[in-house]
Amino acid sequence: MANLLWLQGGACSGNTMSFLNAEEPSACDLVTDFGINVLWHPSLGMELGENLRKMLHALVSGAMPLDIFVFEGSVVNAPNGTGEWNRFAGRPMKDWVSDLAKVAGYTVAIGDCATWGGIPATAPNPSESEGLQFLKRKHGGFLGPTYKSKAGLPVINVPGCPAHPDWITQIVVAVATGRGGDLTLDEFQRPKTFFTSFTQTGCTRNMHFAYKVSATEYGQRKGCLFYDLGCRGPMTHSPCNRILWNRQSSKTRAGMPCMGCTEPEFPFFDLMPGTVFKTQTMMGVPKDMPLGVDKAGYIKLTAAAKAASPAWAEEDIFVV
Amino acid sequence: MASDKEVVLKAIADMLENGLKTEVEPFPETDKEFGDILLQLRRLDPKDLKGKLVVGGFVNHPYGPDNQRCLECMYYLVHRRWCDLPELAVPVEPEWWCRLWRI
Amino acid sequence: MPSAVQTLDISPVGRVEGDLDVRVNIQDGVVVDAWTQAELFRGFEVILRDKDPQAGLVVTPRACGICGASHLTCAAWALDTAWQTEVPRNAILARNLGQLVESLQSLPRHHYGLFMIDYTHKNYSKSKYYEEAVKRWAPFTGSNYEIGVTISGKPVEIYALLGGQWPHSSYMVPGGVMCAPTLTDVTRAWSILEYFRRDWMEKIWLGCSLERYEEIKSYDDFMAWLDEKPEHANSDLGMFWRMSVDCGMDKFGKGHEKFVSWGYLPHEDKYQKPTIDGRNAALIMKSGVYDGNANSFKLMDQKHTREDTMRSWYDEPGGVHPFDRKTVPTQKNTINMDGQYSWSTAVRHDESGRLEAGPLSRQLIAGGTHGEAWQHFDPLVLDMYRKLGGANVMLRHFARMHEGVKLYRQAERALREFRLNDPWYIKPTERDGRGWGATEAIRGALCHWIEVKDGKIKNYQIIAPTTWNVGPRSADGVRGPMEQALIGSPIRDPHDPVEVGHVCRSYDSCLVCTVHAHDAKTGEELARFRTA
Repeated sequence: MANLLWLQGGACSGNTMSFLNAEEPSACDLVTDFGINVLWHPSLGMELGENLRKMLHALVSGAMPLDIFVFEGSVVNAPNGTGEWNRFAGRPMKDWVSDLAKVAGYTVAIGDCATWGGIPATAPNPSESEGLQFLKRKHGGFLGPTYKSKAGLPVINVPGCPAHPDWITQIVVAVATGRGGDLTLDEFQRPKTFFTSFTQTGCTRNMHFAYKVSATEYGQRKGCLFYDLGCRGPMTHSPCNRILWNRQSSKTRAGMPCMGCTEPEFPFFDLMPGTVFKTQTMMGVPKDMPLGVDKAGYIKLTAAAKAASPAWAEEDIFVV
Repeated sequence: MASDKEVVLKAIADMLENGLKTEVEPFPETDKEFGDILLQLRRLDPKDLKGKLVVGGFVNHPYGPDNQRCLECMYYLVHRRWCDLPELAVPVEPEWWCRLWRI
Repeated sequence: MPSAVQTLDISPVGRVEGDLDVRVNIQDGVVVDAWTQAELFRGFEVILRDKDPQAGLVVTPRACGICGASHLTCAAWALDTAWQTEVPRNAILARNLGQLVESLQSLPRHHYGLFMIDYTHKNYSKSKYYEEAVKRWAPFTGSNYEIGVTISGKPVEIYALLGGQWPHSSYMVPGGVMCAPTLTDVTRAWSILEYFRRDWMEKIWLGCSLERYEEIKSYDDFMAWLDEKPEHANSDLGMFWRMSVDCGMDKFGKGHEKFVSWGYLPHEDKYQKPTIDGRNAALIMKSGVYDGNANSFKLMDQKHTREDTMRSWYDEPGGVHPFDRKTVPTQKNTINMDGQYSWSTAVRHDESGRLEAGPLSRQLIAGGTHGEAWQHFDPLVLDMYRKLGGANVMLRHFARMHEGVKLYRQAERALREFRLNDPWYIKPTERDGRGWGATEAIRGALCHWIEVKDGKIKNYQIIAPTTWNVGPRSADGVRGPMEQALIGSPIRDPHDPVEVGHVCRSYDSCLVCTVHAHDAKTGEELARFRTA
């Protein structure tokens, strides 16, 4: 039995909605099969009435154990660091977060808003939003760089806009089944098991990437989205093409460029004019290379790939 | 169709051979400049071959210190000998070049 | 009980983007006044200023994780009208289908995950249906709760086939869609729809075939259907209806009795050259304003929209059209029930005043004979509205669920109409201009206004269904629709006012709501609890 509390700050509920798409285990399975005791979630379960506040105080005082504290949404600090623009149960949400993080066994940030600040933290960041332990790439965030939960781990960051349901449920199951100690985190505190491979790993357009055939506009049945349409698949860490979305597909498979939403910079370039769904180039060469590839190597690879390109690479591959 | 393509390719080759002045410079250094050239191309009649060559800045030889050529360009389809940039969509030779070149 | 007025603050009343606080005054066990306060400001309109014209495609689906496809639809059509694009018929169908499956998802998810939980509250333990309600609908463990919540993930698998994932894809773009579905995508989508129909819609929700349900055209037809077979009466719909009546859910939650819908689902052959003014005549589901008191129907036009800010936390002139909004948030958002008390503006129609948005609005407007002869017409909910004496909690929720069969048929239609070898996208030319995109999210009227100048966003404005519904008082002092609907609600136990939550949930607001109850004469706080 593990007590889980899920709160939302500057959130859209997208991670909750994503979580509800889960199967094996489903949200209900977590409760019935894995003994997760959902103390409270803003969209699920019974209303608690006055008991919600009593419960929150019991958790903060330590009278009731808080095994897993899940936070969705950004920590809103506006105006002027007071947090009054996001109030919950009579006080700024950020004050609840501060108190609850101190007593939590594990603290889990779900989605980009809770991990890095996400969309609300896009310039000019009107709500003074930040993530639990990061603001974009900068370590620290709301809880500070030295924060550790009672289990001795920093905030477990499960990024994505939204996070995939399996990324959420598997982490919860790991903790609930006593495997929390096996979690290894990368430099951005993301579980390595999910965030070491690339979004491109497993993409169905990889052959077009290899032979340098571009999808030059939308609605095409061939081509890689990296060259023209701003796809960040080769530079983004996520298992989107290993663990499919809604059991069916992924953005890049369907024809939508990856926007790099598991990385701290999302949305990239603060959505300034000319940056949305367009590959950023300088003198005809992409500014952002596939991770670990240098410009000279890229140019050589292009020449070789073009020279070796088979005829089928130029035809529709996803045919009717 | 194939013969049409050959006819068009020949027409382009002839124009370039006969010294058609095209806008080779300035090379679009940024995406904004690149986009502006695309916009000019989109304003042309899709059949205006000469207009495309002029605005695209076509030459019938490799270009620049790196000897850039269609063959390595992202929009070049090797087997079809075709420029797949929707705003151009013309047959080309691998040793040519235009200022919309990118890899 | 003495005739004292009591005040109840409810915080937070559930769910989705941020928190909604509700304050009610109670006298003699009845709500006599109410205030609804939105308690979160993220500033999406501020973020979008000076950004790439297409930034709305990325940002606005993230305004609401439940209605992301609807936001994306609005963002795309707003740019289409601003850029004067051409949108191929396949793309119109693919956008419609994405939105339809998102709404289908929301039916069981909202019904079981949020709404029916209320019926397992001890407040209703004396109902003869209570034991069965707990068995079916108790959170996490109820038999149909589990089935319903789990199957709600199925329809959006079709969204993933089109856009890669749900929620938060941006596959709709000016000029069309990013995808080009293949035959296997279409056959897979059919199979998912069939599964949803057989395993939930017919088997659990209706207890009959879609075809039988579609024969119901009036209140009397519905009551006859209910009595026709035990399968009907014992279906989740039958149980919902009978227990609602048994518990009096048809007796409160009336509201202003004036309703709005932008209409939705542009016809694939009628909106390929989209314009703001041409939209009304191109819609399968017509727009409208219905005045229940005057029993009058008319089409809705965006130019009538006004936003009052007098009672909201914004430092800018109110009473303006969204194209003229500035979105300047008040720095110090102090709660003053006689002054400013919400982040929501008060939206109104410049002639018709405060209007309720939502599925009930759509279904009432579907019963009007205004609009084009070919547009969708359905008299059932309008007939129920008249026979039941107006709006109430039960009818509002029934209207939401009733739409399901129609959404399903439209989804089938989109799949049939795709021409797989025709284009999905026509590349547009970016230009400056003003645009407007609208639709009906499952929970009501949604639209975006955009002004593009010098290749970037000069102004972006969103009015969500919840803005219509939970807005505070307008400049003329008229209550917001939800505030009005709370008036007259009976409160059995002022220390546990579940009825307030029922009204809020019947609106399916986007906000996690909190209720505060006060003795209206002494000002003493009686209860504070959260609901959804």
